[in-house]
Amino acid sequence: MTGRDIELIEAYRNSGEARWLDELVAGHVARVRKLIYPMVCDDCTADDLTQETFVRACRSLDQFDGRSSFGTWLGRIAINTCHDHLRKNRLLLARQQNPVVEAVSCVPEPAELMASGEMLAEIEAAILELPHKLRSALTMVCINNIEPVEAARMERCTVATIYWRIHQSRKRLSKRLAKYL
Amino acid sequence: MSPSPEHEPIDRLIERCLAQRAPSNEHIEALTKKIQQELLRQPEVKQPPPVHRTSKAWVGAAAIAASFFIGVVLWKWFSPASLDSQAGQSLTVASVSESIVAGSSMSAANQQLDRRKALFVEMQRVFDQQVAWIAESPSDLQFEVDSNLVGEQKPLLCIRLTLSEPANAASEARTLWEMEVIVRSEQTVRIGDDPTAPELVLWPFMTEDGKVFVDTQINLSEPFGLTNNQSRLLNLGVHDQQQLNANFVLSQSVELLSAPGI
Repeated sequence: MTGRDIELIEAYRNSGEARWLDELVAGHVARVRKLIYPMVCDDCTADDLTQETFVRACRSLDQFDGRSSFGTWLGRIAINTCHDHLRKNRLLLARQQNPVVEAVSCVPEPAELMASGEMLAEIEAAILELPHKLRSALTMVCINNIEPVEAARMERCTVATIYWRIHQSRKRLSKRLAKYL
Repeated sequence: MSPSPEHEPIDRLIERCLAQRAPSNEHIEALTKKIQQELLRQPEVKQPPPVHRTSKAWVGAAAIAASFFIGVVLWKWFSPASLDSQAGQSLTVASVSESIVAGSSMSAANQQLDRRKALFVEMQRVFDQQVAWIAESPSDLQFEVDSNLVGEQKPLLCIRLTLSEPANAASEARTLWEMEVIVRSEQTVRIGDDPTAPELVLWPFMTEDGKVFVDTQINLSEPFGLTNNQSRLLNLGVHDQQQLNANFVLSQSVELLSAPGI
């Protein structure tokens, strides 16, 4: 994909034709949205932030110098966009104010609950309770399989910090969702 | 990264949960079309960006040009005439926790702001739009270049911090330390040689109603024995003063140099 991305960017820079940009965007929408969704756990917000990521990226396309892959560069913008959104909208606080359904005394099998949606809601609530720096580390490395070194570059921190954030995320989630494990 | 065995269950649980939330192909296609249409409405996209090339020769030339430019800037700013004019604008510290609307000549203030903005724009040009912040003290000018700075379209602010010794019966107010920082909203500034205890950590955030939230950590244990952490909501163009203790007054002011699109 990387080689093709560079070709598309060069073609767009040279011709200004939107079709090159369209192809570039089409190749990355699903991946960017997958990166963003766990940060907000809301379909509409994830769609809006995905769009915002591409708008920011296209505004700054002249700053893309090819030192990292276009996907990495875009991922960095996506994570920055999420952090900006979370900081401004205090989504975490809003969701925390919604009481989470307490566990019933007789917990059905996880597979049954998963289908009901109740467990999904509680897992998402638990993810949203994580501070967003922990959440982004978990999202990038554990959910999207981004290398910790790359995640550290995106977050402008050390690799050790990323590992620490993942460890903290897992620890908190394991405790919070123990009844489902 | 392979999860440690004790965490495999939680990873699997989240994976299963998010797999159920995965959008359909139709959803992704519709979103792609929506984004493509939105991009066509963006003025930056209607006109293709200039072709960008980086080479070692270019970087070398830029470094030389930057050194020359910074030298000229420092010479201009710290020449005796400049220092005299800056001294004339220093704050008079007299009252506690009060806000004083900047009373100096508007045209002189505007010239100062224009000069700060020009400095940032020129540094951005020289360093390929990667200047994170510029900080100026009476004896030094520091800046940080960050190659990860992409997609940043935030308001550009000029924040001035002044630490003073309050006036008393025996002496007039005296400026002990001052720093002026040109930085974009939401960019963290760290100044100081010791990474574990930087002299200044500053994080500004411009709110939608035009005020600026400034989170400040000052560590001047040497030579003043002062450490102070605080968050203030500042109005543009208004000096905010706080008496930290019997020995120190901290003044802060913030100006908007430019907003995205300007």
